[in-house]
Amino acid sequence: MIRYIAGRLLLILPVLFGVSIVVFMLIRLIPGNPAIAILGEHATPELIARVQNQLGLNLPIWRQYLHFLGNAWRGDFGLSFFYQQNVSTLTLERIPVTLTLIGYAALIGLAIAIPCATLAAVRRETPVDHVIRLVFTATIGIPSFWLGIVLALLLSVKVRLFVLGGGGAGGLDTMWHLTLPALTIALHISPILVRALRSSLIEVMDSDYVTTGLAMGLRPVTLLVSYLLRNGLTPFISVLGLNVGWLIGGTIIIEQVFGIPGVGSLLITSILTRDYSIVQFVTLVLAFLVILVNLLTDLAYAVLDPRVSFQR
Amino acid sequence: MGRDWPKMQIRRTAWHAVSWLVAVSLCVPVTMMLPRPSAGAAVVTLTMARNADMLTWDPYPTGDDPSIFTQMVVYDRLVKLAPSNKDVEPELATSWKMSPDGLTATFALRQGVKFSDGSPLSADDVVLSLTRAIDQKSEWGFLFSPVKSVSKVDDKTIAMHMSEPFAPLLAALSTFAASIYSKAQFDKYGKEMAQHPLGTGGFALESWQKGSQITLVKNQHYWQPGKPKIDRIMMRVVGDDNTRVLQLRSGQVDLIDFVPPNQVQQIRGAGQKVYAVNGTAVLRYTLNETIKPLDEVNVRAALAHVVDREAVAKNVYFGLATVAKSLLPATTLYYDPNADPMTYDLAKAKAFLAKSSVPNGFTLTVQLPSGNQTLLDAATIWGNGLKQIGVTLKIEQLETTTLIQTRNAERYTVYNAAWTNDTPDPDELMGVAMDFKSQHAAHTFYNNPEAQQLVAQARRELDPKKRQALYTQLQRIESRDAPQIYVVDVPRLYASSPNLGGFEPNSQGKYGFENVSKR
Repeated sequence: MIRYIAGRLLLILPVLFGVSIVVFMLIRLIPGNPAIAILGEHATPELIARVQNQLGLNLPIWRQYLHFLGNAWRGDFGLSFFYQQNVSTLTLERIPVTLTLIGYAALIGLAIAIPCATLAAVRRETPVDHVIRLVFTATIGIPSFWLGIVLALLLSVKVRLFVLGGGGAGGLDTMWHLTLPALTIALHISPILVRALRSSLIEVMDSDYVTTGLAMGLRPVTLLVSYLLRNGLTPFISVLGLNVGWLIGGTIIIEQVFGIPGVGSLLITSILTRDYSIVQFVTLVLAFLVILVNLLTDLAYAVLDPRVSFQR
Repeated sequence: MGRDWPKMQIRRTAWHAVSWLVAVSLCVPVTMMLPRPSAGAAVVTLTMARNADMLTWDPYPTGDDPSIFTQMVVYDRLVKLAPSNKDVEPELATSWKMSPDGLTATFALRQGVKFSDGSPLSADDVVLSLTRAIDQKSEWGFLFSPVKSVSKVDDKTIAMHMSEPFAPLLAALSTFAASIYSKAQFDKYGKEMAQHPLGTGGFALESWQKGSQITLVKNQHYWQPGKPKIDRIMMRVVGDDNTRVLQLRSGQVDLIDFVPPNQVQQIRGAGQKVYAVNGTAVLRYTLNETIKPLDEVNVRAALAHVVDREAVAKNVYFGLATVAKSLLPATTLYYDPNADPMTYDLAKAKAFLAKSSVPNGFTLTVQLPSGNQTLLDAATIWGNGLKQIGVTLKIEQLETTTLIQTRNAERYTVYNAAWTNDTPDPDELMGVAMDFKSQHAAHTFYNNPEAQQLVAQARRELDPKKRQALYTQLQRIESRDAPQIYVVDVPRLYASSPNLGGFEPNSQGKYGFENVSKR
C-alpha cells in the first residue's frame, strides 16, 4: 500500500511538468500583451517596450520556459506582473477559501444526491423516480453562473437568508458566506451524482446477496448500510472522483460570480490581465489538487471494497 | 425482483441514515443566521464593492483608475476640484500667487496639517511629491511639461518654476498625480511606498489583501474638523457586474461602482440611489488618416454626420449618456456646445461624400474590443446611418489588449474608445488630439499646424477670456476636420443604499468619502 502511494506520488511530478508546459504555452498563445494590460490604454510604445523587457517577455519562449522551470525547481514561481508580489504568497493565502468551498459544495452535493438517488432507486419506475430523474435531467442543462445569479436573487435579495459574496471572517462566518456558492456548485454537480448512485444502487438491490440477506432476516439498517450503500457507493466514488476536475472548474466560475477571494477568481482576473506567473502557478496548484483527489479516490476503493488490493 | 422488494422499513431507515447529511449541511448557515451580539461602541463602516483592485499607492507609475481613485482618498493635493468641476479650490495650499512673468507660482501651505501617523506636513514633503510628479519619465509627467523645478521658499511656502507661462498648472495640480505624501515614508520605503502609503487625506490604509479587499480607517489627525464622519471603509473587489448590483440590493454593501446602465432603472425602482457623474468621458471614433479614403476631410465629415447620437444616448446608454457636442467632455473648462458641433444630418453627409473621391460609398472597418456590447450597439447604430449614404460598416472585434496594440502600431482603421479627461483643463485632451509630433495626434495622423500652434498658445495664455476664444476655435476645427468623431458623453455610474449621504464623486473619480455619512 505504502509503495503504491509512493509510486503514485512520484508520478505527480511528470504530470505537473506536462501541465506546466501546456499552460506556459497556452497562456502565451492568447492574444494580448501583458505590458499593455498593465500600463493601460495611454501607454506609449516606448514604455510598453521597457516593461516588456523588464518582464523578460522579449526572450525566446523556450528561454522564458527554462527560466521559469529553473526558478520553480527552487520554489520560486515568480512575481505577479500586477501586484509585484510573490505569486505563491498571493495564491496560497487564497487556497483555504477555495478548498472550503470545494469541500462544502461536495458535502451539499452528497446531501442532495444520496437521499434523492436512494429514493429514486427504492421507488424505481414510480412517479417519484420519474420526477427526480426529470428534475435532475433539467438541472444539468442550467449554466452554473445563471443558477448562481438566480439563487442569489431569491435567497439573498428577496429572502435575505444568505450573505452574497466575500470570503467571510473565518470559521462559521466563512461557511455562511460560502453557503450560496456551495449550493450552486452542488446543484450543478448533483445530477451526475444522482444518476450514478441510482444506477449503482439499483444494481446492488437486484443482486443475489441482497435477496439472501433479506431471506436471512437481516435488519433493514444493516442491509442498507452494510450491503446497499457500501456496495452502491464504490462505483459512485469513482464518478465523484472523476468529477473533481469539473467541481474545481465550477468553483472557478462561481468564485468569480459571487466575488469570493479564492484562487478561482484570482485565476480568472489573472487570465484577463495576462498575469502569466499567477496563471501558471494557480493552474499547477489546481492540477495538483485534481491528481491528489484522484489518488484519494483510488485509496477510498480499498476501504469500501476489500476485494481491491494495491499489493502486486 | 426489485418490485417485490419489502421496502417499507428499508425506506424509513434510508431516510434516517441520510438525513444527518442534510442536517449537517444546513446547520452551519442556520447557526450563522442567529442574531449575534454586537461588540463595543458602534463603528460606522462603509462597505463598497468595486469592479477591480488597485495596483499601487505610488502616483509615479500609476496608470489604472482604481489606483487613481483610491489614492485620492488617502492623499490630499495642494488644490482640489471645485464642485462645478471646472475650477479649483484650496486644499493643502491656502493661497497661491503667480509672478508677473507667469514663470513662478508660489503656494502658501496650510499650517497644522498632519499625516495619518501624526507627523506634521512640511514643505519638504510637498517639494518631494511634486518633484516626482513633474518628472517627465513618470507616467503623468506630461501634465506638467513646462514645469522645470519645485523648490522650498520657507517652511510655509513652496514655489514651482516654469520655462514658459503655463495656464493649466492649477488644474494639473488637482489631479491624483500631484498627490502629496510623506518624504520620510518615501525615504524609508522607496519604491515599496507602492505598498505603504502615508498621506494627509481623510483615511489611511489599514490592510490590503491584494485582489480582494482594501480596508481604510479614519485618519485621526485629519485637518478638517468633524470629518470624516465614518470610521472605516471596506473596498471589496467584486468583478461581476450582476453580483455588485445584487450585493447592493441585498444590503450587504453600501456602495457600488461601474453600475451597468441597463440595470439603473431596476436599482432606482428598488429604492437605491444612483449617481451619474456626467461629462467624465467622451465616446469617440478615432479615424486613421493613413487609410484611404479617411485622408479626405469630406469623407470624415460625411462619416461624422451619420452618427445618430440621440439614438446612442437613448438606446445604448438608456438615457444616461448625453449627446456629445465637442471632443471635450461637458465638464471641461472652455467646453463650447455651440462651436459648430457634429450633428446627425443625412443630407449634409451625402453632400460631403459627393464632394469626395468615393461619392457612391465604400466599405469601412471599425475595430472594437470583443465582448463589449455597449460599443457594439453604438457601432451598429452608426452602421445604420452609414448605410443611408452608401457606406458599408464592417465590425471587427478584437481582444482588448490586441486592439490597443493594433492602435498603437497604427494598423487600425477606426478605433473606438472613451477617453477620460483627468484634469478640468482642456489642455490634456486637446493637446493629445492635436499633437502630431509625439503620438501622431492620438494615432489619427491628423496634422494641422494651425491647431498645434493654437494648443501651444492656449497653454501659455493666462487670460481666461483669450483662452476661451482659442479653445472655441480649436473645437470648431475639430468639428470641421473630424479627425475624431465624438458620439456621447458617457457618465460614470455609482449606486448606493438610500441611507448613505454626502457621497458626491467628482469627474476625476474622487469619491469624497470625508463628507459621507451613514444613517
